[in-house]
Amino acid sequence: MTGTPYELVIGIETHVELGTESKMFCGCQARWFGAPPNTLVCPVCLGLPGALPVPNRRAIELAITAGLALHCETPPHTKFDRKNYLYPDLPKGYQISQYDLPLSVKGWLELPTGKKVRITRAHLEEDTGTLKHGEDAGRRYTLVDFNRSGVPLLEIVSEPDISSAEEGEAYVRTLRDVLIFSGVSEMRLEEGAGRFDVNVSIRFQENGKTMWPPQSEIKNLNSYQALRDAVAYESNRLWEEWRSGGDIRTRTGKITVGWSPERGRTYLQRSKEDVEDYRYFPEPDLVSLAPSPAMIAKLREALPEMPSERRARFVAVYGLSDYDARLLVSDRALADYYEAAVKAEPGQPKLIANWVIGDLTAALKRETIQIGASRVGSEQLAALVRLIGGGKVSGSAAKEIFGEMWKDGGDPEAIMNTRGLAQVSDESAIAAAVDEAIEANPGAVAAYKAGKTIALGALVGAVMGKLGRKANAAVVNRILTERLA
Amino acid sequence: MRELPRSIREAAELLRTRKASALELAELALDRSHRDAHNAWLHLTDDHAREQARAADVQLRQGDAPLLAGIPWACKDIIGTKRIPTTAGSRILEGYVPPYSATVVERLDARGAVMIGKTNLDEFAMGSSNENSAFGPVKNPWRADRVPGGSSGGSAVAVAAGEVVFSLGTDTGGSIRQPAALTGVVGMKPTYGRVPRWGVVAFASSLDQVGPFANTVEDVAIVCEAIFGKDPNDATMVDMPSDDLRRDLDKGLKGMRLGVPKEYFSVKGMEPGVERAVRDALKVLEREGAKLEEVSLSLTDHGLAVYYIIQPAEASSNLARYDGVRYGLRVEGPDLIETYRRTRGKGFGPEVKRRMILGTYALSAGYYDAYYVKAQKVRTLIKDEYDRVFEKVDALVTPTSPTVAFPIGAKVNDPLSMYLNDIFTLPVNIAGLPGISVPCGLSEGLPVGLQIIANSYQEGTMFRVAAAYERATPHHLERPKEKAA
Repeated sequence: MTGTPYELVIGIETHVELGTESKMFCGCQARWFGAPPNTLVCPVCLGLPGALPVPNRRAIELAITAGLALHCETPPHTKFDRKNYLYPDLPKGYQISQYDLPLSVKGWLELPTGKKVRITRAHLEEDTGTLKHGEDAGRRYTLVDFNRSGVPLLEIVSEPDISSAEEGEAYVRTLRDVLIFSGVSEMRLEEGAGRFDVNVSIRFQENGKTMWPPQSEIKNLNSYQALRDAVAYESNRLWEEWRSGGDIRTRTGKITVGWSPERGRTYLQRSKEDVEDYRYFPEPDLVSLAPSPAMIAKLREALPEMPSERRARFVAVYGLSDYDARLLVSDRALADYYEAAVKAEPGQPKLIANWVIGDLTAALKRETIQIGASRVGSEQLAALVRLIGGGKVSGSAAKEIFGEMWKDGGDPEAIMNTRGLAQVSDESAIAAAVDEAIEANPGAVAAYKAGKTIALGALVGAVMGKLGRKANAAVVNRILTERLA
Repeated sequence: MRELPRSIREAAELLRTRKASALELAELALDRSHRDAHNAWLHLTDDHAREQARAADVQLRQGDAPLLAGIPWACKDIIGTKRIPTTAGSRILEGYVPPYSATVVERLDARGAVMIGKTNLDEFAMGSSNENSAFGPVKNPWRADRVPGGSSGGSAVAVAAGEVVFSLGTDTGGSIRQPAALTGVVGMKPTYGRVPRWGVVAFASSLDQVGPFANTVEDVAIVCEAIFGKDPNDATMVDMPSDDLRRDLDKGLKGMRLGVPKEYFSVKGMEPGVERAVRDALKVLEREGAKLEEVSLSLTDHGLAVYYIIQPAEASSNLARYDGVRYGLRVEGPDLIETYRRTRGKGFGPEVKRRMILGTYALSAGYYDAYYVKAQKVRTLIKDEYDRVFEKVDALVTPTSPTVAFPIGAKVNDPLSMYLNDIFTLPVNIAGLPGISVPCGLSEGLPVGLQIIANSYQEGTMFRVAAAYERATPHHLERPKEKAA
């Protein structure tokens, strides 16, 4: 962005595995990661002769849900098409996809900066198998695992509205949040459940004319870092290619490149001359789809509040800082937990947020568990906050109680009582102790009255000592200053 | 007993009166099939047949056996059979043994029918003469130097030569009706979507349909009852009851309106003997009380063009899976592309290659709209035209094929002339309608077929007309003079 003599124009195609139980067109288990090779297969996802696809209704619902979460329109008619190409990981010699009538069109995604990236379309397709290359006694071989073959994939295509690698990363992170939030996908990048194809081009002024040479499509990126690094590398490479008078000055179409994270550079996969003709045509083994308005309405109703909207509400309604709201919203279950606690103790939204973000998150991190596995439930945390707010325990005592709750999941008030952690707020008991302290410490009283307010500390300490350090410090302070006035 | 019973009804009677056992019928069918001199069979499944026959005998003794229990039948080798080789008549599937059966086979298995073996066919059902089989041509039992028609030539001959009581074929453009006509048996193609395609090696998915061959119209209806009906594995099916298939067999023709499409009689290359036999049949229908009406199907001429775009287009995609990676033939090359080339080059015959090239071309970028899209539009017009005609008439009556069985080798070097042999049958597939061919006499000593076409899901009406014609004439009793060697 700044510091470069060109602007970046980026569009991203995101492939997301949908979180269905079964595959897109057969009953095989869809969660393929880690399963022994070729154990989650059947005639359909192996492309055996005579096998036919039957669409997974849940996958269609999730795809529409994703579209709605991205503010897309759901066209009244949609269909599946065949995308024809030969490759060993594609058992039928074609991939069932959607060509000209995708399930969702014309949406947008708002980035944390407030910028809206337009979504061109989102369509449903089936994933391919995976290849493993090896060598045995000098002979190279390739093995095919069809466990992933037929897993439902949603391809979400953005408009070229993104103008930096950082913004690209923000886009895919926000997109991931939305998809996780709406229950469409868990999108575990480390398990290959999300992949990105990034279209990068550079635009600049030269001799008073706007130049916008053909783009590069970087295929199959599977981490945020790869996306950042590949965009930075390829945009710079395009610029250098232009400056050195390379092919880019004359070629008419885009090139496709891969990214090698080991070497930190892209490599050419194909140029326009050998672009494949996929010979799309309507899949004759399936009938066209017309998602009913009732079905769409139902899915829309079931759609949860999106992270950006929820964050804004946390700030407006609960008075949280933007930073705290963002932390809570980053994990849908954590945000749900927070709101459940606030519902149980409506008077203390900020205090509850502090506890959720502070001690609770720290405890979860220590044991690397998710909020769902927390041993302190939202109502218990609310009860603890109620004790603090009601002046029944001090902050440090509350931490001790929380530690106990985390160990055994006990009730905070019971822990407070058995451990003797309750604050003394009884004013007559405190007043008696104050009177005793004033009588026993004339020096400190004199100093205080002479203007040395610091001498009050010694008196407070004396009162606390008498009450076994469980007195409510605020009450002690108030009564002391009253008596000494 | 030296001859198999002619019909399911006769066989069922023998079985129930204990005059024959299922095992005896199976042995007779196997014996005749082993002595078959027409190259009708690709695999005879002796052990499997005996096992099924013994099970049928148990059922028959218990007294609750279905009508098809113990009836010997033949299966076109494009219909998948579990643990029994299924080649589709192609070298590329040599040695392939499916791990699952087609739904139609399961349904016949469940009713106790006894499969004798798998029959010869044109490779991937592409042909009208059975000369395109990788395993040699099938000969017509009426005259050994003549073709039996195709592509289901083996299934037609197995019935015509008295080797089985009924058989299954597939019909994409006439592949059941045309060989039925040329071998003098009854053959029928159901409404698209009434018979499950699950497990049937796909040729052209939007046109393919499984159907029976038998000696009588009633038998064909009985087999349809067994194989019709929704299958959750085939998404293109319509859920329709099929309890009316035999209801009107005896009703006669009084009050029925039958359309005679004039375009079906003005085709170049129509043999006078064929036209004479069909015109005689029309007179019989009229005498039996039907009201004949000349109708116009002006788009008939375009059927061939539409068919030879859609059918090869779908085939080119359906046959992409035969790549040598997972099953069937594999001819290793130094790299992946060369392995594809050699495997497919050696595995497919010339007609299959011709159609894949045609289809690939029709789907290519730049040609897709002019060919595939245009063909689909004309397909809709052809359907509309049939719809309009069926507002006026109950069924249509036409010749099945413009010629009788032609000499082996006569058309192999003239694909267009071969394609024209299906000119009367393929529009029925384009429109998804049911059609049946019944014997209507001889020309030059060879059988001629009468085709009856009904509106979608009106198989009951179609059978009513066909059965009435059958009762009124002796043509269905004609047998080939040449006996099995």
